Amino acid sequence: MKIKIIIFQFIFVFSVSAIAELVHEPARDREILDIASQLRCAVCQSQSVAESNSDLANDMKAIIGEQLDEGASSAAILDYFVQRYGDYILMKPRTDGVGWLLWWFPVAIIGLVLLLVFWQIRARAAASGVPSAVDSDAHTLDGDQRQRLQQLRDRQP
Amino acid sequence: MSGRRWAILLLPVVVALGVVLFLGLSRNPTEIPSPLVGKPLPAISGVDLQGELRQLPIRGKPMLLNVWASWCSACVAEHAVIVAAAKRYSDKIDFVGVNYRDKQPDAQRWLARLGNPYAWSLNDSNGRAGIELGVYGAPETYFIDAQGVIQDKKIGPLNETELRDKLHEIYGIN
Repeated sequence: MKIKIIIFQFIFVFSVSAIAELVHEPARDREILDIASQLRCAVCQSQSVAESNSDLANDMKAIIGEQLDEGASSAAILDYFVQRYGDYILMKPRTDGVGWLLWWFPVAIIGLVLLLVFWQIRARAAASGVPSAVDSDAHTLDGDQRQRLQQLRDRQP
Repeated sequence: MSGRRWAILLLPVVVALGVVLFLGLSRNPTEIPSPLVGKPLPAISGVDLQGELRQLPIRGKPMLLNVWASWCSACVAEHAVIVAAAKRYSDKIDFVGVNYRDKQPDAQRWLARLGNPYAWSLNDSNGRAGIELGVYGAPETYFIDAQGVIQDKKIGPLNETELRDKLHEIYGIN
């Protein structure tokens, strides 16, 4: 019984790898689809060239294939389309030029909000008279008091 | 007091966001500015519908390059506008067609039926010239000056007033 299960498992494992062999794509096709997936299908809504079967997307895939055969790098091929269709053709915006702003603007906004919140908390703490952790002694104590406070702090283990 | 300060701090942010959204959302998402505007027309060679060898760009005379196809229904309405303009202005501007992803006999029949305003039409049955020009589909029109530089591009059909305004604005033709 046990041996049967093991044999069955073997058959199962090998049959899966046999199927995997069948759907294996040639390296060139995979490379074409890889580049095509980074390009926007201009005539469809939010689809990449790889996913689209439109005439324009198919033409673009054919051009990608030809340029790969000529030895062009994927960056050069993406550039070829950007020169003709603009940055819009890229699925992922570039991080240079205006794209830089696009990537970092949200980060800057979050930073600004955090800064405002921090200031607000500090201002509120100061207004309510509760000393905040950050150098509030500096303006509530005079010279002697500060010195005494320092002495008290130093005495603590 | 502190609430008012918040409002003062937030006001420019809200106004800026409003302006950005107003400008952004009022744009037509299907209208994408071509990076080729302001640049020389890319070099394109091929045959026209008569089988004659042709090369672009041609310098010395302004050119209106119109991308069309017999399968394109929007081109039919635009075609009448192009035909009328070609009759009036062909001495000042070359009217050239790009027959985009079409079959040559279909294209010939279409021109025979609706009139041929073009000096010649490039046979772009495989859409390669289209990609060189950054074409999305038909119709599209490129306005090229005498130096071979693309001055403007229109995606979609042109109507009479639009074409007249463009010709005036780009070539100073009334």
